[in-house]
Amino acid sequence: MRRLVLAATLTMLLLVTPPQVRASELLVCPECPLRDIQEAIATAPVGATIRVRGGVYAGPVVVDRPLTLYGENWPAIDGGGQGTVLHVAAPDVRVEGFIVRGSGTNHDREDTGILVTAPRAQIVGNQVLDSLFGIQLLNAPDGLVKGNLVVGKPLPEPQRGDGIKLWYSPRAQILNNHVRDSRDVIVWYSDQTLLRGNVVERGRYGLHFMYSSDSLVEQNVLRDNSVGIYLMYGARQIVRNNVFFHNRGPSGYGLAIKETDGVVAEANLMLRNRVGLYIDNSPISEGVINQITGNWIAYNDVGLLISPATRSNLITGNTLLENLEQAAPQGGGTLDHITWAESGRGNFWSDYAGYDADRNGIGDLPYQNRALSSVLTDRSPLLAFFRFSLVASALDLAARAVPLFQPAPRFTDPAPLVQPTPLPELPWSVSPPSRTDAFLSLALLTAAALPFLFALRGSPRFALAQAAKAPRASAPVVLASTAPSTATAACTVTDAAVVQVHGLTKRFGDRLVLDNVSFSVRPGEAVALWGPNGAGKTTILRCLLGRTAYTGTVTVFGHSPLQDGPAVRAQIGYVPQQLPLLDLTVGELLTTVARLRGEPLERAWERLGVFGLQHTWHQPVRTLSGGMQQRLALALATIGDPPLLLLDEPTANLDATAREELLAALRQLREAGRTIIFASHRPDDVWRLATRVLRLEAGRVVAESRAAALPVRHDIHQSLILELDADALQPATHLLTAHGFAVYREDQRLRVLVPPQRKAEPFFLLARLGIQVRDFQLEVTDGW
Amino acid sequence: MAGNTVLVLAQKELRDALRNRWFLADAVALLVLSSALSLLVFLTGATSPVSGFGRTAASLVNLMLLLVPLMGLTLGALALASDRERSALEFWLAQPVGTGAYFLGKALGIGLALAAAVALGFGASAVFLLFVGATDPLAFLALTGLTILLAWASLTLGLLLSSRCSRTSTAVSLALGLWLVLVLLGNLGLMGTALAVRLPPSWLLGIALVNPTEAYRIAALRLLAGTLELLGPAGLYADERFGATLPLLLASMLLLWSLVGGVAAYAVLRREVLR
Repeated sequence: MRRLVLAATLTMLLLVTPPQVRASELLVCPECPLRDIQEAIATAPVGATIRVRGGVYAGPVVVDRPLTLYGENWPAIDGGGQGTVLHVAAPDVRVEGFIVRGSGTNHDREDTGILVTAPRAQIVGNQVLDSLFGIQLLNAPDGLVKGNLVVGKPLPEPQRGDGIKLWYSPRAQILNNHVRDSRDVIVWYSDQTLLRGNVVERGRYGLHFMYSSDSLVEQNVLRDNSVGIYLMYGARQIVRNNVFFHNRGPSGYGLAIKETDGVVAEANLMLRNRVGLYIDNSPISEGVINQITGNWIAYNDVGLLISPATRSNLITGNTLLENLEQAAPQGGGTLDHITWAESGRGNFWSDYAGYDADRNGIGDLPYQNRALSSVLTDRSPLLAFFRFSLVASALDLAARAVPLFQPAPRFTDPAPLVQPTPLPELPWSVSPPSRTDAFLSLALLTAAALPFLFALRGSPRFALAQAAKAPRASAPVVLASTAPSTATAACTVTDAAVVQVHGLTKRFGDRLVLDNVSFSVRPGEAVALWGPNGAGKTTILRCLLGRTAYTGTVTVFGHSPLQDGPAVRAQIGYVPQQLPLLDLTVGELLTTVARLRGEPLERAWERLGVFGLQHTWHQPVRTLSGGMQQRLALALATIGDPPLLLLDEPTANLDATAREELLAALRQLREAGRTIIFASHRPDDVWRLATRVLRLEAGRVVAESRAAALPVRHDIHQSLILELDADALQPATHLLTAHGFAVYREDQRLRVLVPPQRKAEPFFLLARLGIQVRDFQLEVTDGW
Repeated sequence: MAGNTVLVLAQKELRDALRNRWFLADAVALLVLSSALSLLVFLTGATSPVSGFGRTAASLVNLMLLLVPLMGLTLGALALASDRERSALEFWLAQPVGTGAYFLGKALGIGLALAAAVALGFGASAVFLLFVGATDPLAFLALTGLTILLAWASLTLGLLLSSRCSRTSTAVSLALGLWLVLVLLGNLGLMGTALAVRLPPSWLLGIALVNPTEAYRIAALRLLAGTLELLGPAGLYADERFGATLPLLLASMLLLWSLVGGVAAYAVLRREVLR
């Protein structure tokens, strides 16, 4: 019985013993009796499996007999920055599941993560990190490199080694590896290589074939390299269903073919590269053709770039979509030696401007590439700088318009397709753009509306509505009782002179406009600046407003208008000779001025009522009559109740009725205590409004009188207003002046001051000279 | 008060812009053409599972180059000259308004109106372009900002022309002449010079950047395409010399153009109104 129990126990022990302790397997781990991989290899029989558990193991490791190295939980072999980390020197070795890292950086020795120098090696599912060269197969035919991650050393690109390198290693299979940040994946002197399902990114040449033939390259993704795939000096390479994405380095080719025979490039996607497909002198042998079919070449700077010597290429059934330049000969010339169509089918060109009347899928006009700007750029690459400029477009347009300048076509596709070809099957999911991105447009449209919402805030309708909500802050506006505003911090109104002018001189170039003018104005005065045109009246008003430079001294409420312009003008209401013909409505103009002068809009609205203009609120200013415009100007001038009003020929353009109304309003303002300075050449205005008169002639004050003390000039009692033809105004003025009449020009009319006993004389004088009086009007004045 | 004055005048200018036939015509042209172009990109992209910055999308840059400086220059040229012609300048400057506040209000108001027109055009374009992923949303947003800067640079140049002119016809004629020089004749001359004397790429780039429309074109292409390789050796030089800071640098140049143009226009206007 005891023997039976012992035998059963031994059997059980044998059954539960882990596999690694089986005779053909060895176990290596940091806590195991075997802690060193190289020692395990030395003791392992041929064909054994060495299982290595997670942990860090020192390199280098050399596998010198056929066996399997199997990593569990990612054991790391660390080269410590010296030499090659793992060297497979025996045939039929399989290395799987390791992290191999820390090779040296010596390019002469080609320090490598995993170096294979024997046939039939299988390098599967490893991570090769921080290694100068990732995986090298040197004279190692029939190798399998599958499912590895290779990340190059963080070095500048020229100092990096290759991610995967095949050197005299035919019939290798490179499958589903991911290589990044290395130099190239090299296939040199290695025929019949199969490369499938690999991703190569951020390198120099994604795949670099040299002197290798009969390879099949399919379903790889080559992105962000300088060149996706470069085929050089080989033959019979098949490149299909690959993705070439955003390869834009110094070369910037998706697929490049140089002196290679019999290439078949089909059903690839070349997207957003500098050049989608570059063909340089391929094929090089006679009687051989390259076939470029069924590819999507889209959104590249140049879709196809082909050296002019290239011939025997069949380029058909491709989709050339939205490339900035669809196809171009390298360095000038033409692409006449390329076959662009076969069996009546060419390629799809997204910029094809023809038509397909018979609906057979083929454009009825050939596709021709003959842009002048492109031809110029071919000749002088520097001119590429002007791409997408208007000058390039203008040149192309001019060349189309003037056939003399139109260059010969660089190539012609005789049978362009009118629909794109189907997108090939690719190892790359084309994700649709995010629909949420489109909400950006809504944001932009909202942004566009914001300024106008801002403007609306200041609109009269909005402002009036706001004003209506606000409680009344002051008494209603009544013209006759409106008192000028009281003292402000900037300008104090006292009994002292409101305006002091001393030695005011103004020149326009050599012309003296004001010559040493001096006067002062006290509060409540209405001072007339009276004189003919050109006497300097308006210029004095401009000086008081601080709107022109001068010499001498001018103070308004004790401040210089030139230095404290806005503060001084806040105390001045200004009525111009004519209100500018603004496009604004009365409401908008009133609102704007009220806001500038800090008056509540409700009060400004009442002020409009005082001048009988509330009904014009929505009317554009330019549509008002002359009289209404001047009343509006006066209403605007009183906004904010400024203590000083300046008026520049306020009645100049008014008819008799409008003039009477305006003068009445001004007299009320004067009675209410406003200080008024007004310019006029109309004596009757002066007599009616002024309390003091400054007579100006040629820029000088020639007389100054208080209105009450003025001697009544009985020789001038009436104004005779004559309407004459335009060409008669000048001679009539001269004639009447020569006969002792005071004559003033008012637009197309003459105002003649006539004594009672000489009223008819101007008619006789004019008639003698043959000047016809079209109409006349006699105005009775108060007399001066 | 000065700040408030500027805002009040800016609001007035914005309302004026809505009545300005030049502005409305330009804004509608911008909206219609950019939408039509983007629709074309959309229709191309809608049939394509892939997307990117293509020749049609690049035409949007071309369109902006054509229209935006024209808008900015003509509106700027009309702004001051028409006020002087109608005596509106005298009227506004008789209010408690400084020349600086008047100028700032005008520039701000028209600048905002232009920005709104550009944003409207781009907003409509974005509907089509972003639905097909023709461009990166952030790059598109940056392009909108860049276009507004171009509009402002053109506006201040227009204001500068306008500040010396008392007739709108003169100011607009000058603006159209300058527009022709900026978008066409300048480049034509530069192209000829580059061919005749074989300018080094750095010189070509440097001379071109004196022109604000060129600064815009280069910045816009860099933003949309992500690189300037498509502009040949001069583009490569620009990429290598300035790298990712290039769009920022060019945007700063446009801003500088706006500021310099604005300050110069204000200085001339101030001198003119005090004559």
